[in-house]
Amino acid sequence: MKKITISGNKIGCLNNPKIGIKEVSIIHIVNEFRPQGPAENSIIRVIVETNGFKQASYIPWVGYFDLDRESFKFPKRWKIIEPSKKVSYQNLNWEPFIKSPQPLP
Amino acid sequence: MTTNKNKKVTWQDQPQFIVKPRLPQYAGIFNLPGETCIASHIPHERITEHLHDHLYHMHIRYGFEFPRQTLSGIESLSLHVVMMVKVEHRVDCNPIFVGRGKGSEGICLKISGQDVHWTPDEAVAKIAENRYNAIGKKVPAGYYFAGFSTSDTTERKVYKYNREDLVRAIGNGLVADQHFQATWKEPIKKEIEPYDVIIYLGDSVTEYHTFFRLPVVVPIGAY
Repeated sequence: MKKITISGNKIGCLNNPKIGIKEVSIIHIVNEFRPQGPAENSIIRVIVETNGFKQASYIPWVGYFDLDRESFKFPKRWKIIEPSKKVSYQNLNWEPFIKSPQPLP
Repeated sequence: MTTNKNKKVTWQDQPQFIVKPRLPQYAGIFNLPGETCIASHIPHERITEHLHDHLYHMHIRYGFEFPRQTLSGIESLSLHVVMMVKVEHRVDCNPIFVGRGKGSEGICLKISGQDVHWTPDEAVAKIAENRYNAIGKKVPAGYYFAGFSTSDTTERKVYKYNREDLVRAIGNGLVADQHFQATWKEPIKKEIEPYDVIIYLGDSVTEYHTFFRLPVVVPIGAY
């Protein structure tokens, strides 16, 4: 798996992730990081474990609307960060496509 | 001759907003050739206005016409579009294109001074499903109606165009193309096998609506 450094805008994060997970964030990638990383104008999910392991994959969301919808379906599950906050991640394991659907941590 | 009191109301007296499906008009946008409504693509380079170019996606494209019309009785309305897609897919909308731009890009239609945007709208999907059922058709297992209304530029709120803005955009008739992309709800590394897509077009005010099918391969004489 490739380890990369990326930056983008954090638009939301999961409240109270499961034990062993420090952070689950939704990041809007503004700049192009292909071929090593995510595409310009994509949205990815970054999962940071308490042991420091960081992994990211694409999600098909297009913006705040998806967070609105998830928050409506699952109240208090998400924290919407608006305006977005610039963030960067180093040593991130980039797996653009997941092998099979997985529940959120 | 009848008095106003006894005047029979006909469908022409009701508010009307007419939209007619057509074949796509502008070949080359998003690398789609002419007369192609459905096409599956693997991830590719960035194209302006192309959502999901980085994911495995299936293009859904049709042409449409707003013929010259009076828009009598309409103060404002939002446009509706609904697509029948597979349950494991989601659909996202691009702007409406009125011409081909640079390379594989399109030139966006502006109404009310802004590009036309869409927001998902489950109530609109339900309207379409009820009307689909009313003509004796059922959504087959494994599919659902994904509905959209025109929105503000944030794509978080429904936006209604007023009559003057619509008249200004339509003039003596407006012909344009609409593009969408279906993607996996959970992005996986797998091409989407193309399939026919049923489209519903309507609006928030009138009873007028239309259903049509986008075939993977368009037969001669379609539309």
